[in-house]
Amino acid sequence: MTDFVATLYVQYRDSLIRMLHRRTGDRERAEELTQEVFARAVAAPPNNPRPWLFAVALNLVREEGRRASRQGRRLELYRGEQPAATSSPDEDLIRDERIGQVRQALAVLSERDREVLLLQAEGFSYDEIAETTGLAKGAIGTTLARARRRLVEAYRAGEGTRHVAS
Amino acid sequence: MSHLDEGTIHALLDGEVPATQAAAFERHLSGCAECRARVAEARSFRDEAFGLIQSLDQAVEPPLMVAESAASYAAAPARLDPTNRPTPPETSADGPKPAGGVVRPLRPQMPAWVRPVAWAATIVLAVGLGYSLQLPSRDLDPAPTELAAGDATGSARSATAEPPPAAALADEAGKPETRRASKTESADAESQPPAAAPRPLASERRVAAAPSAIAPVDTGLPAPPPDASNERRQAAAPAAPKKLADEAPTAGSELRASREREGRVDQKAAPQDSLSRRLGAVQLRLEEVVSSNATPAPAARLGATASARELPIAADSAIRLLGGSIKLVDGLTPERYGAVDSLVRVWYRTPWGPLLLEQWRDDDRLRHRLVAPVRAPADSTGAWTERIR
Repeated sequence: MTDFVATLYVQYRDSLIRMLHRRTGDRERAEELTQEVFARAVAAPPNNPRPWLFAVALNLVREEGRRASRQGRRLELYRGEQPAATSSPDEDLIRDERIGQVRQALAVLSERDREVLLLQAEGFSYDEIAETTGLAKGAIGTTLARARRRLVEAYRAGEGTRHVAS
Repeated sequence: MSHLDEGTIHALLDGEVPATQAAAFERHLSGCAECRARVAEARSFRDEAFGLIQSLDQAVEPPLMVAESAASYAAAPARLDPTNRPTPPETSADGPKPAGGVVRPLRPQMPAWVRPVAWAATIVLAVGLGYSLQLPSRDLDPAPTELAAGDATGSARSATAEPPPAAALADEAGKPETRRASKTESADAESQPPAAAPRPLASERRVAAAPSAIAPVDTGLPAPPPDASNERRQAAAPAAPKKLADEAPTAGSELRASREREGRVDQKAAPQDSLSRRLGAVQLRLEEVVSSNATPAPAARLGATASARELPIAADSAIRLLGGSIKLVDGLTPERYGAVDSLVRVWYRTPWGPLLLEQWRDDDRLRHRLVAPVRAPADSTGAWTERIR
C-alpha cells in the first residue's frame, strides 16, 4: 500500500466504518467493506479521496444489496448486535428497540436520500455529497430536507404504532 | 423576497449558503414570522434526524471521528434549546492501522465495558500515585503556561502493540531538547479564540461522531467545589460564533447576550485564580512534557487546558494548519487530531494514558512538544521522543 493510501486509511477508516455500520447495521460487514474500499484505493489511488472512498463504499453496499436480492434473501439491516454489557437487560431491550425502529425508519427512505443523509452525518459538505452521489449541489438541500423529514416522521409513526400495540 | 424554500432553509442551517446570500436570507427572516417558523421546524427535523442516526452507533463503540466539520459542530453555540444538542460522540482508536504498506486485518473491538474501567483505573492510579508520592515541586509549580492537559481517556491499549503509523508524512527536523521538564498549565489560552471559527450557520453542521472535546479530568477525581466546577465548565465553553441567521430576532438577541456573558465568564475564568492552579495540579499528575524542540512555546497558544476549546480536526486539516507538514510519533497511530488556534495536537493512546504531540509553525520551523503520561516509563518516553518524525 502506498503511503498515500495509508494516510487515507488513517484519516477515513473510522468514518467509513461508522457510515457503513449505520447503513448496513452490521459492524463486521462494515469493516470488511471498508477493507475492500481501501483495497480498491490501492489499485487506483483517487484524486479526491473522501468522496471517492465513500462513493465506492456506497456502491459496494448497493451491489451487495442487489446480489442478496438476486439470491432471494434479504439483507438483514439489523442483525441483533450485542450491545455493550454496561446496562441492564431492560435498558438493552429499550435501546435495541430504538435502534430497530431507527433502522426501520431509515429503510423507508429512498436509497439516494439515505445516502445523502448518512454522508451529511459524516460531516460531508454539500459539494462533497454532490461529488459522492452524483447529485447536483443545488439539489442537496432539498434532498436533505426531504430525507430528514421522512426519517423523523417514519420513526415517529413507528413509535406511535408501538405505543398503541403495547 | 419570496419565502424561503425548505431546501434553502436546510442549506442555511447546514452553513451551505454563501455569506452574501445568507445575509439576504437573514434580513428576510427577521421580518417574516412564517419563514422563521419553518426554520424552527426544519431545525427540529434536522436535529432529530441527526440524533436518530447517531443512536445507531449505540450498539457498538463509535469509532474515531476525523471529519473536519466536527470542529465547527464542537464549537457550535448554545442553542435556543441547549438540551436538544446531540451529545458529542465518544472516540475510539481501536482497529487496524496500516503498517509497512499493508492493510492489516481488523483487530477485534475491545469490549465496551473495558474502556470506562480502564479509564477510571488510569485516573485513579495516576492521581493516587501522584498524591502518594507527594510531588509538590512538579504539581504546584506556579510558573505559567506550557502543559496541555490530557483527556484522561487512557485505556489498556498497548503502545508497543501498535502497528507502525500509516505514512511518514512530510516532516521537518527538530531534535528534542529537553526531557522530563514538567510545567504547569495556564488558562491563558482559554481566552484565545479558536482558530477554526465556524462559518455563520456552519456552526450547526452536524457530524456523526465528533470526538468530544477533551474531557476535563474532573470525572473520577476528587470533586472541585460546586462553584469551581461550574466556573470551569463555563471557561471551557466554546467561543461564540456569529449569530445564526435563522434565529428569531428576540431569541437571537438573547442568544447574543448569553454569549457575551459567556465571553465575560471566559475572561473571568482566566488563570491566576487558585482554581486554575488546583486543576492544573491535578492534570499535571497525568502528564508531563518529555521533549520539545522549542522553549518556551508561545504561552497564549500552548498550555490550554483539556478544554472544549480544542477543536477536533482531520489529519489533512492538521497538515494544512501546519503549513504542509506534520510530525508524528513513528510506531504509534494517532487517535485523533485537534487544533487550538494554530496549534495542532496529535493524540495517541498508551497504556499509561494519553500521549500528546503538540506542534505549531514558528516562522519556517515546525516546533513540537511531546507531553506524555507521567506514569509512562522513561524508556517509553525516550523511544517516543526519538521516533518523532
